[in-house]
Amino acid sequence: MQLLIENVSKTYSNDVKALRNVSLEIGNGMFGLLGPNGAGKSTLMRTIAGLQESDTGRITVGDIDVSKEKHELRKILGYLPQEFGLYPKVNALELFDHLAIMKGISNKSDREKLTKSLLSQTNLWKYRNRKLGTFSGGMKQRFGIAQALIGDPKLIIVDEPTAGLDPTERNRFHNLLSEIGENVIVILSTHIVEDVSDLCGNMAIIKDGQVKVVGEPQALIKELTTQVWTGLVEKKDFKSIKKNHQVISSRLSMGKVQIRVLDDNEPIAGFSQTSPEIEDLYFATINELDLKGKI
Amino acid sequence: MWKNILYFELQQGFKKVSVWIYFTIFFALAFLIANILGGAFTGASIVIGNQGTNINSPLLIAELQTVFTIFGVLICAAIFGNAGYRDYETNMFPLIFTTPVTPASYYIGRFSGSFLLSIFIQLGITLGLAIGFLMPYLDQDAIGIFRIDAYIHPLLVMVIPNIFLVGSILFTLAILSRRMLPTYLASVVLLFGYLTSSNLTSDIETRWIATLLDPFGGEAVGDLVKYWTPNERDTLLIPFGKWLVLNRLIWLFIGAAFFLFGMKKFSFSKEYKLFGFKGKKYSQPNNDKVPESSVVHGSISPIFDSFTTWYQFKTQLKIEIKRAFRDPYFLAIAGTAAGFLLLNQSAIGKMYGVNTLPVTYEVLSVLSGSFALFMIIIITFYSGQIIWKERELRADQIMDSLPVPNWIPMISKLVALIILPGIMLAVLLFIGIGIQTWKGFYDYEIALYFKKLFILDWTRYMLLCVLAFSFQIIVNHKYLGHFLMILYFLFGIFAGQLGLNHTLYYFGSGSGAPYSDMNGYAPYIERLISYKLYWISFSLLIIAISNLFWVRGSFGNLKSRFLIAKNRINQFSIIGIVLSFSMFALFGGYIFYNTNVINEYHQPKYYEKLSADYEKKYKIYKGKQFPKITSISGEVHLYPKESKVEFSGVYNLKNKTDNGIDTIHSNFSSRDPYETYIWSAPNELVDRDSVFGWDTYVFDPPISPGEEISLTFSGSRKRKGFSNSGVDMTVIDNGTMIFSSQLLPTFGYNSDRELSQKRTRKKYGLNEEKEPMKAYDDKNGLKNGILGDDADWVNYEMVMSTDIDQIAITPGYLIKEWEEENRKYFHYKMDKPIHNLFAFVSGRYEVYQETWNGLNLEILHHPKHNYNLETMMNGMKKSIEYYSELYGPYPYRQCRIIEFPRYSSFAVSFPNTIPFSESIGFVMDVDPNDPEDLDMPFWVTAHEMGHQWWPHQTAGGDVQGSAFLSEGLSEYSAVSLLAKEKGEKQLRKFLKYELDKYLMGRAMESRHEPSIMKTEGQQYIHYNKAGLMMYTLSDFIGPERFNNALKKFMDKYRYKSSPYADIGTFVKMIKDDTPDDLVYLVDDTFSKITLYENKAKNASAILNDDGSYDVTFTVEAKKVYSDSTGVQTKAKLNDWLEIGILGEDELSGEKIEIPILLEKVFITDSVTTFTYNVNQKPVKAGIDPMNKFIDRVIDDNIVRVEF
Repeated sequence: MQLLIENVSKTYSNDVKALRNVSLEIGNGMFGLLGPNGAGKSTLMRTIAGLQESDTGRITVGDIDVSKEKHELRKILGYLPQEFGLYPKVNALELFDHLAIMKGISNKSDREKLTKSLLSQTNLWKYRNRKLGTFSGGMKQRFGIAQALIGDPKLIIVDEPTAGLDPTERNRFHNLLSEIGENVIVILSTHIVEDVSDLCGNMAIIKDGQVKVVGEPQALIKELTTQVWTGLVEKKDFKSIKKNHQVISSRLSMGKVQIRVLDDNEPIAGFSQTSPEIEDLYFATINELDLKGKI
Repeated sequence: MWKNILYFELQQGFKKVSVWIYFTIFFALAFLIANILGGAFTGASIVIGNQGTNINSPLLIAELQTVFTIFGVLICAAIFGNAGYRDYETNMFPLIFTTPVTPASYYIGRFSGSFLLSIFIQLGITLGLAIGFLMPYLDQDAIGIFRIDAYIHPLLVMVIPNIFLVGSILFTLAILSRRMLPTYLASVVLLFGYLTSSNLTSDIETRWIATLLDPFGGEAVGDLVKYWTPNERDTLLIPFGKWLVLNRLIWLFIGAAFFLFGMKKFSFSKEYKLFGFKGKKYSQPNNDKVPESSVVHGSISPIFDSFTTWYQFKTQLKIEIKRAFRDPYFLAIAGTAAGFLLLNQSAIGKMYGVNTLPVTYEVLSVLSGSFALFMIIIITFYSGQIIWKERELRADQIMDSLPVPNWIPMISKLVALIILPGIMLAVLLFIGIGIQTWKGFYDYEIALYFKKLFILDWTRYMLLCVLAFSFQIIVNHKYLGHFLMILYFLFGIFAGQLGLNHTLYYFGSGSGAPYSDMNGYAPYIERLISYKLYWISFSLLIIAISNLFWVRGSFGNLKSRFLIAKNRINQFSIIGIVLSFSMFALFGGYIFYNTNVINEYHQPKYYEKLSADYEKKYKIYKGKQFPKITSISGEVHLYPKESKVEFSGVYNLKNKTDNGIDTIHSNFSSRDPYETYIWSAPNELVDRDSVFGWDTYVFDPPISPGEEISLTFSGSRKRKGFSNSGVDMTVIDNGTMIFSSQLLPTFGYNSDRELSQKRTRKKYGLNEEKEPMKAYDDKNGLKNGILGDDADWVNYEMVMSTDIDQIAITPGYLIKEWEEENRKYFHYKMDKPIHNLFAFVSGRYEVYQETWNGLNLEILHHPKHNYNLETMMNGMKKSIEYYSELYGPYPYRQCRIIEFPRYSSFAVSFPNTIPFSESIGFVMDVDPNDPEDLDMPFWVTAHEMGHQWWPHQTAGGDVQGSAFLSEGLSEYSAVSLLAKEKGEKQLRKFLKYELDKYLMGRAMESRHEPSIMKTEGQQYIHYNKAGLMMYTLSDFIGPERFNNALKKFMDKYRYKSSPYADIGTFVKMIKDDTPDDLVYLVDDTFSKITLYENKAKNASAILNDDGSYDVTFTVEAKKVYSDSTGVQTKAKLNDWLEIGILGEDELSGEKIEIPILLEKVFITDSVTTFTYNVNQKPVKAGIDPMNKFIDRVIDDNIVRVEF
């Protein structure tokens, strides 16, 4: 199945242009949507999930037109919103069971099996009798992930799924998702680059509502081989370096600044070439460095 | 520091749209009210208070401002609640609480900000009224001068203290509990306080409790001004009366206590447990083994078939209902309301402080009546809750992306919403049965409970649910949705004024039906069903439309919502919309056919104009003489099942004037004209006016003096469907009661059809004052009787027929009774002439019969209503016995009381025949062992029996004061019988009510208060003032002398006509038998409006060695005369009054006051001191302790005796 996004634009009533002419072609497998806060990721995902209308453009999943056949879409959709609440006075088991019914699992024993499986895969089984109001942020997030997987969805949209998860849980989630992600479309939005590099066969970087980069992660960074340099500089020099060079990223290291620079040649004496990472691509993109048509 | 917070709070507040919306709504409402009062709209004239006062009287301004503080509670809940709760809701509190602000300044700043904002909003009312009343296009005669103090005074005394009280309670609760729930709960409790207290005012004894209990002070003000005359209403500001001051102090104290308590307890800690509220409980994790077998993705697939859909709906519905019942707001409101009902059950049907039996319909009417408001609040409030639930929890994105059709969440929420009132009604059912059981009344009518609660009420609430729910969906804004509901209710109140009083316009209309044990809801069933179907179809239509607009996901503007709605249209929605719309149109058409085609519908002002035109056109014929009816015979055939009556008859008439009569003006019903109308003398119908039902017959030759002619007539009436205002109840299934004037021909001009309100009359170009009746000594007036000028005394004979299982009754002796064609026939004939006023009654009766002293006494009653038959029978006997002794023998061989349904609550006396409403007497609950429990069935019987003498033997003429001769003297008869049979104790209580009702009546007088001599039928005078003052007169003159004068008067006028009796002669005859030093009292009573302002100043006593007590007390007496508008002048005191000393006695465990000494004393000085020696221990002493004189403040008449 294929998700086709064609020329989708959306402007909010406060004149914020959330999406500008976005077109994407997404097939089965994991697709990472990378972008800074406010880039339009959530808007795009809500639009795909049929929770929001775009002003122009068209989205189709297989032969389902998202804006016209919402009900058909929902039958194959698993959705984890970026920010959500749960009924505080209901326990996990009750709500999960209810959601399963609503997702069309009307056979009771199927539902029990599924509930057991998904809640244990998200490590929630032991909290199943707890009121959701007492759940911590991470538990709530895992519950959200579990519910998105009910009912054999063909299109899974997870908006910042790893936010608030500790490394163990994040790992568990990655495993779970990659297991599923082969035969269905999984769209995963995040601003954590590792999520994408660890999981996704395809990705896009969006900023200011526009798709800046799209493609397979490995192929994309391959283009940057020999382009990324790294080295330590003094703090006092950083400002001028930043002005004169295409600095991808910087971080403090032992009182100095470790920077990564995009350049064809050694930018500053003593800098060494390093193998590019997706992070480099991401920062280069959102910092609007000149990628010189490399991608 | 707190000032900065206050400043910030105000700055934020005035930036909020809601503050301005509230202000604007208040302003607009007040402005609208001022305009409606000032006659700016074309609808009928509205009267708040009465047309005797200015529309901007200081009192009305004060009352309106106070009332709006009650509505304001909800706004205060929002503003104060928000100020206290906001930082918790938004999780801002950790930021705020770590700033250097002190808790006290935070607390004071937030509170005072909300306080000022709330005052600002409330100023909307003040400004709206002030500006509204200044509008130049209003009726300027109705507006007094603009007085700024009339607005400011109530603002300071009522409005601001109320806001402080409400605000401090709500704010404290919100900030300490860190929830909104206690805030809402408290506002509901405050409203309950107000409602409870307003229920207590009907009983004089508990009124003072009500004045204190009402947190808003309205009852206290009401109590202060309840006897105010129009003049006082127009000129005075609310005085600082005892109860009002106490009320204000108590509630300000409570407010301050809350405020200070809150400030003391409030701290910047993270967790605070108010009143020991426990924090969240964590359940322990289940440490059982994690199941190993995990399901492979894709192995459990959803199935989307109709079973799934049904299953989804079922579970969703279950969840919504469960959630609704767990909702703390719902539980809180419902619980408080139920508690309130239990506390308030004492309000069930009271009359003169006497309880009605807790029969099912009575219990139901109190329960479902007082619960209605809370039901409406719950529905309005909860419709918002249930729709916004997911979005407020932010669970909406997950829920909205589930593969369920829109209608599943929508309908399950709607059904849950609808079930809420259903459950509450079920609770009401149990409360009702509980109350009945508790009161020892076991005659539960479960079927009636179900009919009323679930068929009538629930359907009404269902409709409201749909409306509130659809508003929430369509406007997609919670508070705007609430506001629309409020607008809807306001529309219901003001629609009539805007000329939109057709029931087809007002959603949910036509749901009312009067109930009677005799008939059930029978006459209204067709109307009820039609309206229910009409509004249900409309509801289905808006549900179908709302479904298209059901919000799913986040959708910005209107355009995209319409786009989505358009996309959602499918064959089902089209079928739904078309079907429900066709049903709506169909039932609407049916209703329209009933209300406008087969019945007449007009706006209220049409009837005003009609009355005005009638007066303009035909008043010239007022007093014109026609031949008088001398005998009436005929047949009346009732068909209760078909709601039909057929009648025919013959009048014999005689020209009793000295001139020939060439014209007769005949009245007829333009809807059901007479089928035959034949004069025996040659005549011509020269004009027929079908608008007013006015035929002009010209006789040629004229009917000469003394000549007798006859009129043969026939006609019929049949109910036609139902009308906009209700159902024609002329003939009903059981308990029909038709007055003769409703069917039989009448002649000439009828001044009862004239408009009476001053400003309304002026609007139509009539004299402001309706022409008064003729003076009591007017010769022409005395030619006609008070009961109509069509006849004097007539011979009467009537055949009646009715269904086989009913008994038909009209005045007269039963000559023959037979059955024919499965119908029952009765032939009645009177052997003495009667007035031309009688009735036709028919029903399925049980007869309680007794033969007593050769008289046949009967009570025809509904089989179940046998509670007070003996009392009523006893009342008949005692009346006949006593009145015969007083005024001369009872002239008939029989007397019958006949019950009719409670659609009206009165009793009316025809010769030996007394129709008596179901609601007054038949279901009264009188405790025979309680001397203070007024025996209402006995009393009403005694009053009606009095009519067998007054006016059925001696009647006044068509002049002022004649209403007194029939009603006042019957009332006096009943009062003296009550005194004789039931003792002083009951009498004292009864007279207190008479005094209270008189004083209230004169306060509400919209024209002029007349003296008794000039009364034209004012009930507060001829019942209440007369009842009290006639008793006092007889007490001071001496009952024997006084009654003797009455007997002489009776003897002089018995069965007399032309001239009829008059009050002038009556007063003269009383005076003849009155000692000279009391003649002033007769004049004060009959010719003047006399009030006393009596007070006891102090009283003390010493115990003597012989065990007796010397009591010394000082009293102050003052007498004033009032003119007809209530302007008082001081009168010289030269009067006999009564002073007394009261002691205490114990009766069945309760302490009661009993007089130890009562003495009539002649008082000339305003302050007098008395000393008496009494043998019993004195408790209280003072002047007029038995309240025999008219005095607006009676609780200062006696004071406690000091030792």
